[in-house]
Amino acid sequence: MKKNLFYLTIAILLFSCKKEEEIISTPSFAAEHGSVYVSNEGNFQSGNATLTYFNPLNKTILDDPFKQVNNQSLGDICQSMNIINGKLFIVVNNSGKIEVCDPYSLKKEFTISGLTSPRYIIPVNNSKAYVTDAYSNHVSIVNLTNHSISGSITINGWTEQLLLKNNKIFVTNSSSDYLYIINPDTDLLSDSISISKGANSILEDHNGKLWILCGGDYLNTFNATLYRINPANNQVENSFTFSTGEFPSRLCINSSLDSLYYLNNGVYKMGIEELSRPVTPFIASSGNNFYGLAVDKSKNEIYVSDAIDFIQKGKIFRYRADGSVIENFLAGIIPGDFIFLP
Amino acid sequence: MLSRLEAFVRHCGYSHLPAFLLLLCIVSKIIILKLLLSFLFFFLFLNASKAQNDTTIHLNEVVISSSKLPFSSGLKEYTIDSSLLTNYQNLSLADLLNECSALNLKNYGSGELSTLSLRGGSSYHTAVLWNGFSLASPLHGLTDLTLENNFFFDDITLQYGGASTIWGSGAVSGSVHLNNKPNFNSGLKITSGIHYGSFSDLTEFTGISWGNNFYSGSLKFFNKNNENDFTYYNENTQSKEKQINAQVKQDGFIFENYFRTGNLSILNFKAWYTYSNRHIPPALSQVNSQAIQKDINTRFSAEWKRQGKNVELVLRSAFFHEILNYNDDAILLSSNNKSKNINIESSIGKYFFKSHFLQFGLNNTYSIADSSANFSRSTVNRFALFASYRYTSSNEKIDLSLSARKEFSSLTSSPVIISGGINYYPLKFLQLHFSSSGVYRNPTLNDLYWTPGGNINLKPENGFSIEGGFQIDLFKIPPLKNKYSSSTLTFNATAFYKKINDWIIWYPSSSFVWRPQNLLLVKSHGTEINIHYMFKKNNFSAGINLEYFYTISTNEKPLRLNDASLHRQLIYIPQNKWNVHLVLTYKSFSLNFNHSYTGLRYTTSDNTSSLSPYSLDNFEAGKVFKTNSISFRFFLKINNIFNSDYQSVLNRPMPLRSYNAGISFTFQKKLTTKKIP
Repeated sequence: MKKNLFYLTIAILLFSCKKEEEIISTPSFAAEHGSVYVSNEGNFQSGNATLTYFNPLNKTILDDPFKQVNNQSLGDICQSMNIINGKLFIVVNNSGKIEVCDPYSLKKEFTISGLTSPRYIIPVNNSKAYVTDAYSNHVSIVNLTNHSISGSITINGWTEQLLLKNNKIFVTNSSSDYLYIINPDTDLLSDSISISKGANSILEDHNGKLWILCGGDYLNTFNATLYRINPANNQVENSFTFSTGEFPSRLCINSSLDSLYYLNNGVYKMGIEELSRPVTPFIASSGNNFYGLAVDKSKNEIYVSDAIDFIQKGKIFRYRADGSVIENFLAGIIPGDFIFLP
Repeated sequence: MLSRLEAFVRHCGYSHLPAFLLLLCIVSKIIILKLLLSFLFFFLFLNASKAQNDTTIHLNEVVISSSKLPFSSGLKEYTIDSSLLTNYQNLSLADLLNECSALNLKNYGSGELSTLSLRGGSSYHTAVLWNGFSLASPLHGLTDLTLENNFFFDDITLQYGGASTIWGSGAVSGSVHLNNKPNFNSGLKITSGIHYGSFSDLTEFTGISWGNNFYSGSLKFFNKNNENDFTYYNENTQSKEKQINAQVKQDGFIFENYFRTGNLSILNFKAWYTYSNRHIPPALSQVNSQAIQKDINTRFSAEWKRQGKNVELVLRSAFFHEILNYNDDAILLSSNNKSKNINIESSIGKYFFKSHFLQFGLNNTYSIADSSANFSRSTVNRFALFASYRYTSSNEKIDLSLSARKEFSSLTSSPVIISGGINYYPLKFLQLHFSSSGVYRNPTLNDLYWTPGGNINLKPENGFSIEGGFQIDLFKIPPLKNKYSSSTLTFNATAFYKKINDWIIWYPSSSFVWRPQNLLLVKSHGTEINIHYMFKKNNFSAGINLEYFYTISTNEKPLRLNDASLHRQLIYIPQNKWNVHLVLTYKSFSLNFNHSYTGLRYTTSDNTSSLSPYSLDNFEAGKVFKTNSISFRFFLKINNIFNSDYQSVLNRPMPLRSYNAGISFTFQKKLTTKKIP
């Protein structure tokens, strides 16, 4: 009898604990400085794109805070994120929209809709941003004051990452073999540079030089190539060709802007002054399906995502600058992009 | 006149048809309406009290013995009752199977793609066969059950369990048999109907058949126009919304000819054409959709069969031409995919000592595909040898069958596969059954040749399945036999285990290139319960058919280091699914009630996300008015009575409650001449 009473008490306690947990688990969301959002693409037409919140200081992980705050699913294929004028812009590719939120409360403030298949957004000035697109054959111009689409610049093909340098917008295009240059004052195409096919990422190093990574094409008529381009005269200064069958992606740079990282099964690291590309990975994939890569420049830490089979929660690995692993945690389906909150 | 005709043609969406088919379709449309009207008018003058009440509906039970399908001892089989086929003439095969069975259908929306999976297998693992020829697309390997209308078939039989030795590639988990039959000596028969329902769903069909002792022929037309702008509840906007871009247009015909070429032999030719134009609605997370899919399938078959006392000879051939055209202006995608399948088969069978039957045969299947966007003309040829043996004991207590098949191909061949099964009747009311089968499925032409990624080194998926069970005819047990003479009650329980190696999935080989690979190992097991009850007295009859499936199907081979899908249930396979169908008839009045339950289905391989279980209830009431040669049937149907808000596929809304009403008539004139013996 006593024993029974004991079990009953335990049961009641457990029951009440669970209830309390439920109450605690829905507080108002507030992201902390120095934390990270992982954007999880989700599956095509499944509407299961999410964000995962991770605070490396206290190890808090939160699944889909966007839905928790806004009582609405993020949408279909979350491609990328950017912080523009202090707001978080979340590009939701197959929903044809960009959600604009406060980066710390995640409260949705605007939705930029009417896009076809948006990929990346960057600010051109305080009142204007450009959005690349997979299918619309143009780069959209977004008015940042009223959050509407104010125009477009025709570029045939699948446009990817873009970058502003010397008052020129450099646009990668994965389905053509050119790097396109737009004049942001006139919103007109001004020039193009002949490169390999499959361009997917672009960034600037500490010498002010641009690095463009081309993944090549699947028919192997173009090999993957990494380019260094001088933005002053639009000349290719150096190029590093990959072997047939290699499809590198996700070019990133460290905080001192002198070491490049990219994915090519494993994570590779290459100093910007090096004369040849590295042959051994900096972080070997060792059985993981590495899909996303980013560098937290404030801490010089490397984040790599593992998409596993693309239909389950992916894993995020966090590494120190020397390539030693700190920890790993689960994100959502197909984690692809990261943004680090200042 | 010509311009009016042209306008009509355009209006009806027939512009794709060759001239003679066009004429047939137009004639059929006119025939349907005129016949309906004239017969309705004629009927009003008839004395309704003449109506007879021989319209009793029987629900077919699951049959294991005396199989209609050859060499299938030990496998479970279920023939959908012909009266249900008649009552549900306007339904697609997908909707019909949802009403009558507990099979697991994955449906992308009302009128949209619908595929079938059984016993924990994939959508590629259930063969859909038309008179024995597989309808799986040589391009992608799937059969869309929404495209096939059950009005075109005389018999629909489901076979559970692997039967690759008999039906070839794809009959891994089971098979669906769509069969046509001759009607020798049946005279003239005309059937026509028009059905109208919610969301402007208009279906018209008409068929004419004639048969004497030497010839039997039938020509049937079908036409469907559905706005399909159903209302659904959108969780994201938390409001009721109307589906957009979901129109469905379908038409087609089937033409069958059977000739007696001797006392023991029959020659037949069949032609079957279907056209479908479907708009593909947006998923819930998409704003809009401009996608349109057209499927144009033309199929011919010829068969000569001689069934002697000792020797059975079969020669048959089929030619299938399929076009799949997909257009999406929003993403500037336009793809045109064509395939042809040429199938030749012959077999010879001989009886030994009356109870033994041995058959040898060969089959050659040549497939050609052309995918505008991804590969130019590509072919594969597959040649198969097969042998089968059947034994039935003289006291009919045992029947067993053994079969083997070996396939040769210009690409990777399949190994020799062997199957065997037995039915044993120790008592009059008890039957035991057991079966073991080797199974395989070939990679599709997309798997082999798609650019980028196509992999010509793919092996066929292969494995085996075993099953066993029993069936009791409760009211045949001696003490109950006399008490319940007007009823039958059968109970069947079957358990199965299945293992599939080299399961093909598309997965990136090196970083971002997706290609099909033989990666998974899937094990499935489960239990199936069937209960069938039938009661009949005077003018009243009642029938209940219950089917319950319990299915566990898991991946047993991790793809990657961190793969959490290991030992987890495969996506979109419910552990629990059941279906109850109740039929009540009184005189010429009938009621059909159908309840189905689909359990939770995971949508991620780590089983962290899922779709909620749902129940669906449908109701149908019909009345038949009948004279000697003419019968009319009126019906009213309510689908999803309780407004269940459900999704069969993640993010694809399904319609809430909807209504359907219709009228169909049958005119039959028997032959007056005496049959020639």
